Order: sequence, then structure tokens, then C-alpha cells
Amino acid sequence: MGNPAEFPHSVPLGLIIPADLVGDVVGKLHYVSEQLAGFRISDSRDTVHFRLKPGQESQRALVTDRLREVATKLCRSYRSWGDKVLVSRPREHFAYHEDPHPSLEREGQIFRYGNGRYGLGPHVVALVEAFDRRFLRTVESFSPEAHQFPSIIGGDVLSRCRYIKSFPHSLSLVHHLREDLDAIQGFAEQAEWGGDHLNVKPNSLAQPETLLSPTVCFHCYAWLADSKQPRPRIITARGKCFRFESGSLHGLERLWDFSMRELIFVGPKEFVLEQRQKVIDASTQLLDRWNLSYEIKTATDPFFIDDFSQQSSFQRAFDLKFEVRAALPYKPGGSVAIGSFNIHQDFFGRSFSIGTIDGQPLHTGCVGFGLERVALALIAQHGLDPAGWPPGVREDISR
Amino acid sequence: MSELERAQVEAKVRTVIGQTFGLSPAEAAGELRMGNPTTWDSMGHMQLIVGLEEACNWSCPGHQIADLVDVPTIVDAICNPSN
Repeated sequence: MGNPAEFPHSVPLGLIIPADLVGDVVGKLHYVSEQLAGFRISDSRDTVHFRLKPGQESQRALVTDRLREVATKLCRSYRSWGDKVLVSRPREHFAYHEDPHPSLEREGQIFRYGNGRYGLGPHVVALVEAFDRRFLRTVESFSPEAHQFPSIIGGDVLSRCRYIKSFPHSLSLVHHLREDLDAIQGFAEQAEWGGDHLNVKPNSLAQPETLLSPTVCFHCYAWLADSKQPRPRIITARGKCFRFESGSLHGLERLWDFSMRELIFVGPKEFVLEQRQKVIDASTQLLDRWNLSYEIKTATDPFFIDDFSQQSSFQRAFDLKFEVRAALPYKPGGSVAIGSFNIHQDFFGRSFSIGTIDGQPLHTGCVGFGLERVALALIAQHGLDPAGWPPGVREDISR
Repeated sequence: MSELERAQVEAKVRTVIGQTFGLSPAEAAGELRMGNPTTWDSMGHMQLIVGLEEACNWSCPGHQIADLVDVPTIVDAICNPSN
């Protein structure tokens, strides 16, 4: 039972959420309604207990229906896969067990600006930069072409690769004001901070052309769009990525605005598959050098509700995604995805018309490391004091 | 399973593929595999698997999904569900 005082309402789902889908269901329930103040899935995984924001009791029936709809759609056509683990580096004893966030804030190593928005202090920046440098050195033999991409991305690009349909919940739209004197002057006079949001009249905003980029590699496919590639390409870039994950945003574990280093492969199927395996091997050496406890295992992307069942099944069936999940000792049994190794088959080749000389769609793949999460995992496992960090980490920082 | 039963399964598979991807009967009778028709892509593949499960009263094991990329393989999987 949910605590009636905390969660006065309950929705019997008419199904039992499979244990390995609970995280996905929780992640999506945050998007059910703005009137939803909190929820908890029952231990038996067949009921959602919830509470509404004050004065929103009239929304109870609607929220009930939506909670049931989301759970039903996510669990539809569920298949039990079991994890395919490529690499496992378990550890029983860690030097540090606390949630490092409070100490990091106290010591001025992170600063919370708002939901999912954090600034980083010197020690965390040192880890972010050291990992990025070492990763680039680790993949030097791939001779990647260095690129730089913008933080904003065209709606046309995200539309062309179905991102808008598959991940609408995490989009961050970019608006500028309408190029209209009245609209701009009216905005300047009327827009004001409303306590937790900026009060803006929608008619002062131009229709959005761009969004904050959710990932790095899409820029690369847009760059190569409508081209024929005479040879395989390997490209690397580091960029800011933006994914609004609602109630799941939490400290450095899940930022709205984060940094990602990517290595991107474009070429024939065998080439892309071979490069992914090589980077998995190289990354394993790097993660071991940093003395992290982690697993590399199968995973899926957080597709939104209607695409979830089929798209995630497809990813699992074809082993398209492997994640590096680093242990978080402050959460017994918990972990955070710090990187991923992805195969897209010819999806982006087809979506962006990137082909071989004879017009066949090319395959793509990418490897990405979330740099703030790497720093969090290192600190969570080895503590805040740089003197206690593994020798390989200290050496990489000093270079 | 007899040849006749196998032929019936193949006919049903081709019907489901045709319905899933909006093919004419002539197209559905031709050579079909993932990528041909082009709508048989990642999303289409999973729609097809779900459609086949419903039409053939069959449950596709997760580990087989990646292999079911043409008609003969699908027919084999449905006719020999223990494999």
C-alpha cells in the first residue's frame, strides 16, 4: 500500500509491470500531467499511488486514465531479454559510500542553478577534462577528424531522423521573439519572472526553428546529408546536449544540460560494427585505468510511449546499444550510464541520404561518454579528495 | 509439419507482410526481406513481428527477432517454435 497521507489516490493498472521495465515506466509517468505532484509504484508493481497538486482534485479521473494508459502502452508486447553483459568489473568494497552531491555543493565543487542545471568547480572540471583528453588519446589510432558543432540544432534535422516523434518529451525548443516592433516592445514591458517561470505571451514568440541539441552526432549526419561518401569516415566532437527529463532530473546523475564526447562512424556495415568493437575494447582499458567499477551491457534508448515497445525491442533484438553502467555506491545496487556504444544500421544513412558512391545507404554508429557522469562516478566510488583518486586519474589530470 | 501446412503458413506470413506494409497481392507474392519493401525498416520489423504473433498464434522469442528478416526464415520459426 502507498502511504495514504503521501499518496491518497491509487490506480490499479490491470497488469504487473515487469521488474526490468519499472525504471522506464517511472521515467515516463512524470510526463502524464502537470497536475501530478508525486507518485510511487507499489511493491507488487500492479498499482500506481499518486497525489495531485493542491486544488487539482477535479483532474483525478483524467490523471488516473493517463497513468493506466502509459503503463499499458509501455508494457505492451513486453519481452524478457535478460542482459547481455560484455564486460563486468564488480567491486565489493568502495572507498566512499556517501552521496557526494551535498559535500560537492558544500565544498564549492558544484553549484545548482536550477532543475537539471549545475555549474562545476575545479575538481570536477579537472576530471571532465582529464577523461576527455585521455579518451581522445585512447582513440588516437582511429585518426578521427575533429569537428565542432553548435549547441542548437534545426528542427528540420530532428524531424528528418524521427527524433521529434520518438523523443518528444525530452525536447527543449529554442524561441526568439517575433521580428515585430510591437511584439518586442510588448515583451520587454510585460515579461517578468513569475517565481518558477518567465511569464511570456505566446504571441510574442516566433515559431521555433531550432532546438537545443539532444546529442552530438545528429549534426554530423546533417553535415553529410545528401552526399556520397567514397570512403568510411570517423569523426569526433564534444558538445553540449540537452534532454529535459522532468522529475527524473537529479544532480549530476541526470542533467538537463550536459557535455558529451562522441566518436562517430560512417561506412559499410562491417566497418561500423568493427569500429564499435574496437572502441569498446579501448574504452575498457581507459575505464580500468580509472579504476572504475562498471558493466558494459545491452540497453535501450528512452523512446516515448507510443514508440517505446517496438523501438526498444528492435534495439534489444539487434544488440544495437550497449551502455557503460558505473556503480554508484551510495545507491546500493545502483548505477549510472556514463557512456554508450551504438549502432544505427542504415537508419541515418537512409534518413539523411548518406550513401556509397553507387547510392547504397551507409551505416552509422557512435560512441558517447557523458563527461559529468564520468566525474560523478569517479567521485562516488573514490571520494572527493583528489589525493585518494586512482594513480591513473591523477596522472591524467596532471598532463 | 507437412508441406501443405508449411505452404499455408507461408501464405499467412505473406498476407501479414502485405497488410503490414500495404503491398498489393502481387508484391506480397514476390521476394520479400527486411529493406524490401523499404517500409520494412526497424519500426516496420517490430510491427510485423507483433502482427505475425497475433495472426499465427505464435510467440516470437526475443533472441530470434533479429534473424527473421525474410520469408523462409520466418516460416521456419513459426513452423518450428521450439528452435
